[in-house]
Amino acid sequence: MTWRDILGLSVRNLYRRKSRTLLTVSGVVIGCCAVVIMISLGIGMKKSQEQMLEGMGNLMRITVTSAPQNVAKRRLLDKKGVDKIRKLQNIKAVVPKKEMDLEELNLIAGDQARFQCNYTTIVGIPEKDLEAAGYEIKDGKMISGRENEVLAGEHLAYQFVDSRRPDGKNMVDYWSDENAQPYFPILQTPVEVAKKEEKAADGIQEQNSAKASWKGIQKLTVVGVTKQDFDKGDETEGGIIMGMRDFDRIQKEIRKETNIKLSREYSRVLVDVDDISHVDSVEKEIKRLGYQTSSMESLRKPMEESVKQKQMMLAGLGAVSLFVAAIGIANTMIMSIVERTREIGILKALGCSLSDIRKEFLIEAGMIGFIGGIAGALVSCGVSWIMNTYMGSSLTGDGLMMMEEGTSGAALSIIPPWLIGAAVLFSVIMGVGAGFFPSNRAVQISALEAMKA
Amino acid sequence: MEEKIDTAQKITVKNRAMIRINRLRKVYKLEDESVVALHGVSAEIQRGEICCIFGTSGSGKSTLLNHLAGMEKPTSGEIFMGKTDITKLREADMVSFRRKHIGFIFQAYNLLPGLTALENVALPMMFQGYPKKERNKRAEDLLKRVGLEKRIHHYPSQMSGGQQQRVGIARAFVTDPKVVFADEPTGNLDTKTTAQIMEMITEMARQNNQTIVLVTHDPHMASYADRIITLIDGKIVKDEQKKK
Ligand SMILES: Nc1ncnc2c1ncn2[C@@H]1O[C@H](COP(=O)(O)OP(=O)(O)OP(=O)(O)O)[C@@H](O)[C@H]1O
Ligand SMILES: [Mg+2]
Repeated sequence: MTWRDILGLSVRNLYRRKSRTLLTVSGVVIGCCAVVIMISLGIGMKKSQEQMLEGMGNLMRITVTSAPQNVAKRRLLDKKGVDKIRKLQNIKAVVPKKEMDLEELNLIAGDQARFQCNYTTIVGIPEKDLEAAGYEIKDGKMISGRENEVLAGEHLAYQFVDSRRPDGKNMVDYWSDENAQPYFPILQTPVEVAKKEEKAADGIQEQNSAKASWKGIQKLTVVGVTKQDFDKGDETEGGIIMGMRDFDRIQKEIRKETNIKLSREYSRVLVDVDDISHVDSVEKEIKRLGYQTSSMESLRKPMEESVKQKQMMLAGLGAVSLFVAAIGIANTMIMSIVERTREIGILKALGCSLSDIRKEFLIEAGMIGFIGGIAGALVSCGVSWIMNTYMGSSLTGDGLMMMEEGTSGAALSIIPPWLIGAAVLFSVIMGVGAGFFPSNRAVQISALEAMKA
Repeated sequence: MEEKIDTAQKITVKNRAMIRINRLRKVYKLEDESVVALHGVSAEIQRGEICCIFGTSGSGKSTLLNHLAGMEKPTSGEIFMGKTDITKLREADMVSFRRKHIGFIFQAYNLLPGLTALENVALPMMFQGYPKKERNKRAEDLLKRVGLEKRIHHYPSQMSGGQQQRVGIARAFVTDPKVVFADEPTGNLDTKTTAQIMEMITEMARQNNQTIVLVTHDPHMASYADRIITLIDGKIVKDEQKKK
């Protein structure tokens, strides 16, 4: 028999027992729908988790700091230590940073120290690692290596107070006003780290005087403004970035004036791993070297695990209903074969080959799966749409993160095209599989059945 | 008696017997007894012969026919169809042997209820892999020959018993088989229709020199045959040859 003829016979047989076929198909529809919806919920969960994590920062970043004093294996996070870290496997970039808060020192700029900034952080990065640090220059250019060239954070200019304006109106409100401009162009204005000289005698006078006395410590040239990116470091917002040579020298200068402590150690080392799957192992290695680490891993892992667990549970639920559907198909096929015992006998008596008989029943079962799969996929799309429209956002919102509900943009249920294809394919395979045993039985029916009166 | 047939056999081998049955024995083993349904049956049926197996109920007619059609395996003995000993064939090979060489007419018509008359007739050709156009054309021809041109697209449930059996006849001959078996083909029909059906079968067979093996317990039907083999208790007791 040709495939077309076998197919034709199968279709007719299914059509002849419409109501039973329909009932069996609806079993498959429900099963298929259950699996697709469950998987789509899982995908939605995963997606919203990913979005959440993305919002939380660079997942492949490990921040290394020196371990607390009481840790026995503690090592200095100095140049030697960093070189050790650089030698580890699966590392993309290592950026050591020294940081220094200006505490009682100020930044001043403009005529007679008109503009003053009393809090900022200075970050030093070895010149060769500046590129790896990945700062994006929004304005101006990168540090070229000339002495005292620095980068300013995107909003550093706004941190300056105009001492000639009254209190409360002496800062630029760049938060609420998008078009706000700083008081002075930071790229063209020399900035100086300076110390305010307090003279008890003129104390009262000084408060209102713009001509307070300043002791300059170090002049800086801002050559570029970085784009704010907390992944790269807080300094991109309101800090100052410079080469390590300048940093060390300035630190010494500052040391003369204040009691900010000098350290050979880096305050932190940013380690970028080449793949998210290596974060855990690299982090362990670094810990073994005797440092303290932090990364998103400790947050990401339990989150991922919990999502995985939920996904398994959902898929399990779906699989059960699909299994029930498969039993339904097998049952229908067996009933149909029992009913058609005589017919099968006739086919055999008339010389229909055994393999054709087997094929016919397998195709019948497969078609129940196919129709059920297609209908199931369509129904799933509908159900998914209804859930997304009326039931709100993803299941991950349940306390895993402190994010407000709805802030993660991912839909509750996501059905990617491959899922539809897989659902239909799987239903067909399931149908054929369920038809396997019954079709074997059909083949075993004797031709003599045709002779019984 | 068996010896006699054996010698007859040696003579007719040269005549290229269509079917040669050699000491066919069938014993049904039941729980506490065994029933000997065929008692060492030997016979030869020639090409083009219309052979009637006659006997009372329970004499083993159907059992013999089922063996000839390869639906049952004998306890011992051989059945040659042409050069093939069909008792040695595996089921799958037997099915394909039937597909190529054998036609069937059943007492209960056995049309497939889901198919029209035309499709039922074309079915054996479909098993042989003929394209739809070709097999439908041939099926239509045959339906016309059995006088059913007006019922071509009717379903079995829409036809009388006699009409259904005519469809059955058309189906049996559609592949031009060498042998057509029929077990009480008119068992469910009245006398007038029986005559019609028997004439149809014999006429069809004679046209292409086909062999018919027909089972009946009706002496009247035996009159259509060239040869009548009478069975009693699983033994051939009479083998009459009519002159053509
Ligand atoms: N499957 C079987 N199991 C046991 N005994 C059987 C079986 N088939 C047939 N027989 C026995 O074999 C004998 C011959 O049966 P068979 O059906 O060939 O008779 P028959 O000549 O066709 O009779 P009828 O004219 O009533 O159809 C009977 O005694 C019957 O009981
Ligand atoms: Mg009988």
